Amino acid sequence: MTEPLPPYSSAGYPGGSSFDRDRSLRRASRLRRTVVGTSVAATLGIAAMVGAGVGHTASTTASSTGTTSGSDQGAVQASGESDDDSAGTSAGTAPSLLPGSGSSHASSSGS
Amino acid sequence: MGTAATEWELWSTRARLVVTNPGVLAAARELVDSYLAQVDDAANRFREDSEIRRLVGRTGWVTLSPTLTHLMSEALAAAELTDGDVDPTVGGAVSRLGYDRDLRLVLDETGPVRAVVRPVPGHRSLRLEGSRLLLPPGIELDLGASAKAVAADRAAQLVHGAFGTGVLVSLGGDIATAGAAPSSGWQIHVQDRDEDPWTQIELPGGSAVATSSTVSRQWRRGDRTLHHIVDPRTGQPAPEFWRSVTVAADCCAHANAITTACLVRGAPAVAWVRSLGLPARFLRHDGVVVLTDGWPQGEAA
Repeated sequence: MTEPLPPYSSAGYPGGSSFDRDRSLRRASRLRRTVVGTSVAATLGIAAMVGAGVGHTASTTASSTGTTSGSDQGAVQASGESDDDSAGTSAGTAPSLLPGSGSSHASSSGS
Repeated sequence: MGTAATEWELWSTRARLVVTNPGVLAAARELVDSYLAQVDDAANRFREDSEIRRLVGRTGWVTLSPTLTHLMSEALAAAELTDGDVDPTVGGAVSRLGYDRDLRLVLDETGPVRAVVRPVPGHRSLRLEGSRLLLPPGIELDLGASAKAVAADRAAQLVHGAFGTGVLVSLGGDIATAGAAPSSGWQIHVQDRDEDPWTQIELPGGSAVATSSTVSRQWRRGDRTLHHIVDPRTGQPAPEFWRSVTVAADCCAHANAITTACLVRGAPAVAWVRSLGLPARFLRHDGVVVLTDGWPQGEAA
């Protein structure tokens, strides 16, 4: 989840100096921990969405050929870290998507 | 709850603003325009007078504007999140590939470029302390991989903060939302190119979706077709394993960082995104669609 934003100012963004590298690292760590937690929840069936149908075969193939990357390791290791920057920020979670219907508000395409 | 929308050209792509309170659309657009002008002043590497261009050739500690500080901080966070697959020091590599001006002008050039396989300096060579950035020699920054998404997040939050309306901001398909969604949720059409399979999802308010592509923003140099997603480990365009990747997350900066990294990682990206627990849709170059848990099943014909 993003940091709380400073109030808008046409002259710039007061408090910009608060965006420091340490905070960036903590935010990345927090996202890793959050999404790993979400993944665990999904595994337990709390947020069960079972991949099937379109792409299932392909996704199985991709998973079987995939290797555990450094990021994966980092995500697991980060799950037990403390985070002194979490107070006052909401935990990031994977959004719950539904199949769309009706006219669209916007399009997501590559950029 | 009705919505109102406005759309305009920006950064060789399209920007779109949708609000759930139609009465504030004009004022919201003014606010977004004002903010995006600041982003352009700070990070447009195709403008000689932009802040990021004026950093070229400088070394040592430099003080950044608040806007560039924010963009740089988010770029470094994206780099950390992706273990360097999305890296703000790719500017030199991107320029060597010929993407050194607005894409419309790049497309007019056809002369060959020399393939120089060389890792980029890497984000860990930078240090950001508050608004001060330590620039080692030879660094050319490019925030193109992250700035649009970061700007979409902030623009949406600015509009929601100022007017209390539900809002969607799309910058080149990087979509951020804030506040309450319309009663039907935010309906998002997901499709990269016209010839690609498409789908539609309902996105809850306060979340985001981003798509990255190896077939959009392409250009020719000699006999090579190049694209703008650069692998920091080679300084060359990422292998074209995926045509496009779409990820939904709690903010567009995260979604975009992950989609971009997926293009760089190729096949192993699916396992990575699954480990992150995020809904994602991968379109392989042979047309196969791969979904992760949480992404609605089914594709439109």
